Amino acid sequence: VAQEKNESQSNSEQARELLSAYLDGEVTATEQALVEHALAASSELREDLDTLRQTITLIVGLPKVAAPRPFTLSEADIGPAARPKAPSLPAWMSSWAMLTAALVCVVAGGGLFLSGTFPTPPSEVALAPQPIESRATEAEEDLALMAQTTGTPKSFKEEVTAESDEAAPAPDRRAVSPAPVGAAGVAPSQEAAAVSPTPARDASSAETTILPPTPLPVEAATPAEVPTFDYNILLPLTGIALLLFAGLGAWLAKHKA
Amino acid sequence: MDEPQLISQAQKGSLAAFNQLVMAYQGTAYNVAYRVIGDQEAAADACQEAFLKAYRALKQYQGGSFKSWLLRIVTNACYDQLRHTKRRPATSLEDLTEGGEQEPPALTSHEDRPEEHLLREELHEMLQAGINQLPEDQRVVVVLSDAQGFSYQEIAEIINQPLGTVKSRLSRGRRRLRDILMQQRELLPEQYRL
Repeated sequence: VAQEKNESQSNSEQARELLSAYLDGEVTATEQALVEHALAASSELREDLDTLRQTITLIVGLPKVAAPRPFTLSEADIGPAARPKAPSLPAWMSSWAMLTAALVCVVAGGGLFLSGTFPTPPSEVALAPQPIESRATEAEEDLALMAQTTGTPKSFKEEVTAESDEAAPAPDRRAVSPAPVGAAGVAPSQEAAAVSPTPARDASSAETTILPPTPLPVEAATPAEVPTFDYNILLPLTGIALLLFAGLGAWLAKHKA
Repeated sequence: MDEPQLISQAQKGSLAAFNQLVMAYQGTAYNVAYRVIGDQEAAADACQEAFLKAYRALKQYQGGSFKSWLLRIVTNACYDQLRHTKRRPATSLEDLTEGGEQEPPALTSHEDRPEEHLLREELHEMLQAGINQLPEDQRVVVVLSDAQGFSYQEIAEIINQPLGTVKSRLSRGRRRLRDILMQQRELLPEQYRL
């Protein structure tokens, strides 16, 4: 009997816990059966259910109230912090971007300045195309001078060879600038012979072949036709690239701020 | 424009789209806040703060019920407001002399007689006073369920707790409120006595 009484009390307590969900229809079939069995057995539990139902009815009857003001947001409310953020850099990168921007401005400015005043290297002077007429005149004057001093007119070809070797003795110069116009108005084939050390060339053959300055086609002397690379262009190009990078860095730093 | 579109535009930073969402939910948000906090001004402040937080946290919303997501922010703002009120209890002359919060104007008019209207007002104030005495976690669930009519599942989403927690909090909250009202039974209008 005592065990039955305890079991009944336990069921009653369990049913009391379930009354709220029972009123909302949020119980399982087993729970519903337990509650209904307990309600049938206990008037106290029925009163409990009744007062709980009344309480709920009172709260449900509470009126909906009007908001005292609209809660819409203005630009001033949200501020810049709430705006969707632009891609930004971490703080340390941002400061580096500022520093880089400053350095790059100095470097780029200096580069642009120097590109206008930078002296042309001597090796490039030797390789640079010369005006044909003035070089031909010089060669003729040289020949005349030679004839006066030695009595033996030298081959113009030999003269050119000597001059070319003296001006630019490095044989690998051709690798740097593969198709420069002949230094003294000589055709490329002749110049090749002059530049490359040719053991077969002897004095007798040089003496018998006096060649007049070969007029070159005008287009052969035009730099536009000759694929050369001017390294001076690197400085301004680098400067512009760095300026762009600096601008990007400054933009990112600004958006980060 | 439908809700998903508005949410998508608001997530991209459109304040106008977000304000349309605010207009759609501010009534529910304010009613939840008012019933949980029990003070008009504090409820309005909590709502304003909640909508601002919601705008800032829009990127974190990843689908599901937007209403539940928003009301979670509102209930959290209510908890913050309640903590703030506890730290700084109202001591103004107005608070001390008036002796309590007046029920704000209802959205629906009952068009009843003046004395009946007065009785109703009295009842509502007593009920609100009873709700205010509940522990915060039970209060929120009772308000969401009985004052606002949310389902158990919706409440579970809003408070981010399992269904079992919702059931037990609601059961304890209702019974506690019932006991409070029973203690003041004599003060209740006769037709509303438990």
